[in-house]
Amino acid sequence: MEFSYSVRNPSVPTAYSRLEAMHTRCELLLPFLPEARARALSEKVWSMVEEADLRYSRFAPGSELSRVNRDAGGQAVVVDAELFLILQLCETFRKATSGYFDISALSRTEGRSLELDPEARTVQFSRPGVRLDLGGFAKGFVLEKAVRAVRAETGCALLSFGGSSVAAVGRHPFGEPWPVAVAHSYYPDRTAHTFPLEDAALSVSGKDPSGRGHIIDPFTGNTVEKEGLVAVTGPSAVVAEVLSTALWVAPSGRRGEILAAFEGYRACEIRCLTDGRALIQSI
Amino acid sequence: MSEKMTRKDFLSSLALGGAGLALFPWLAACTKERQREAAGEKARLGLIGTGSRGRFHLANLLQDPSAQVVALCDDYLPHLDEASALCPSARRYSDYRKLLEDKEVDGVIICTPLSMHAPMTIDALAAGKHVFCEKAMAHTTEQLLAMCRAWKAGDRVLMVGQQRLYDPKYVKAMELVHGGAIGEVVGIRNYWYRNNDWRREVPSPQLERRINWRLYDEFSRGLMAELACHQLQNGSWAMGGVQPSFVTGTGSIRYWKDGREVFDNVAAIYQYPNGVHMTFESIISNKHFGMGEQILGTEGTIDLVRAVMYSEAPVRRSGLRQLLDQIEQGVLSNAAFAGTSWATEEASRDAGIRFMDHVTVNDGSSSVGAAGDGSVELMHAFCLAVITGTQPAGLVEEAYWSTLLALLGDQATHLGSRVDIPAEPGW
Repeated sequence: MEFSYSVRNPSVPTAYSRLEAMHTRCELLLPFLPEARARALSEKVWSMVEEADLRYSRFAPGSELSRVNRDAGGQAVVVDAELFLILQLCETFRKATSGYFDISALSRTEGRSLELDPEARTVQFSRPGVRLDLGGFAKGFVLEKAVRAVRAETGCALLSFGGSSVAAVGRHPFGEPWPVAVAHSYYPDRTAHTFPLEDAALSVSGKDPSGRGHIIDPFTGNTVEKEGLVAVTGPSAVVAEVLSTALWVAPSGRRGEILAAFEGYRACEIRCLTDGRALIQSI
Repeated sequence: MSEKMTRKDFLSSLALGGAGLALFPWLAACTKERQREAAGEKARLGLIGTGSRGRFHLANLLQDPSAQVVALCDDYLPHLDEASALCPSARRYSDYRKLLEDKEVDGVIICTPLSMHAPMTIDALAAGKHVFCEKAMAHTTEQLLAMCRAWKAGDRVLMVGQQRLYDPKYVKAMELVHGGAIGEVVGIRNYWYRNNDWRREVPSPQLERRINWRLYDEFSRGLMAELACHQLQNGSWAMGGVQPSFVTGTGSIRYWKDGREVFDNVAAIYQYPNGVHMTFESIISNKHFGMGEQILGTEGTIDLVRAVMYSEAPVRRSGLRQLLDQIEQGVLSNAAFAGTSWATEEASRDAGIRFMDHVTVNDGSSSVGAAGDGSVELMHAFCLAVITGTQPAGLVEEAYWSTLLALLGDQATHLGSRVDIPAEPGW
């Protein structure tokens, strides 16, 4: 973890800390807290992230998720309470988004992939060949946990996991909502659109012009090939994460109904053009 | 097919007010309105010259619902037969003047050796036909002027086969250049390398000069007209329509010493009034680097062939540090750090920003035409122009400059000295 504490603005002493994890850069800004408390809180948050990274990465052979991916095809696998909760949530969100959010998208789904037994706390795949990817969801989930931990200590903070998952606690130290801007895809130092965040999360999904961040359409098993970004804001980082993924994958005609099922969330599509403009369309 | 549609859709959407239109005014002819205007109608076309390039266009036209090829012309029977096999319903001519008398031909497509472009185009315009002529426009600067004047004096459409004019990646790239994405333009590099003798098979020695016209001065301007002509447009676009003030260059026959008259390797340097240089280099006895086109700026580089932009000092979305800096300075402003996930491996190397998807990287090895290079769109645009009788704005001017630069570049490589480029078109 990298940690620094700035008193350059004496009225707003601010801690900044950073961790490279979950295949991205995780950052935390903590204004007003004394240095020792800010450092302790940062350590607490980053240990949560590191733990989640170890447990829920499909790339680490020793992770909980890898164990499920390896074994749940042939038998019911007992998982701990948190992973079981995550799988239950994911199944609920799959249904609520008409199947456009699906952690088994990698293996191309035709509906339900998981058999969950709450009594025995087991998971078993409904059909052979299922592989789960908790990538984005785990990021939203741990961000939400981190927000709770931060809120217990302070009413002013900002967290960003790679810029695609951002959460604001309270307002910016100068009294306005946190002004979080989506960078223009072709002019990275320019703003495509600004979201004022106050006790809210932002999640951005889409296709980056450098070619990364491919999202898979669960109905086709192929990466979604279209230009643009979808940004979702709302109270929960997990829900924002789920919605931005589902809305990105869903055809534009289905987006409105998916979003309408989630109260308190707003979404828009951002299309960056090479001439510097950015077209914003509410969903 | 879906990619084709996407590209056409792109052209339509661009024509609805994109900034690229200022630089690529001829695309306005591709608007949805124009497409609707032409819907259900067909351009009745005659193809003059049924060699490899002619048949490439013919194959594309046969797929285009706005085209109906009604006549074919060639004085070389084997090529005419091959074209007839593709399009048996078209009438056959061996003399292009006879084809020009055909009342059912609205527009002609001229794919003949370079030295014949001007006389055929001028005759076709005089016969009231719309004309699509392959690039380069003409064999000499005198012919070039005569063609432009003939077009200007009439009301027919004249289009020239420079497919980059309709290739969306060039439009997007130039929008980035003029949007300031790479800072000030300080250099333009073009190269085109192949490793082949540039010959076609000749059934009998008497046909050598006719079939391999590209190799002989009487018909051809060699690599400058056939290859440089395309790439020199990059300079005009990157420099916002300003043309170079002079060109210098050199060339030789280094490897293919087979009796040809045109150089098998050339290098030309064009200088713009503000001191920027554009280079063109071609060698046809080594193909390692293939085809390359790069716009160099003080803050970035655009690789036109791959549709990738690189930054001199990549702006990493520094994330919350920006906000920290602002808090320290007592400033409240937005911080652009959100987007799709920031990847840690980006920190050490610049992967570049791809500004167009599904780019077919053309290695420049084909002397006929390559998939996705704009040829299909170009032919479709000609059909629309014939149906609506509307000249795509700025296109002749654009083609004039690229041919003029190629011809003067060819002069420079032969003289080995500086050749001045007139600032104004002479027509």
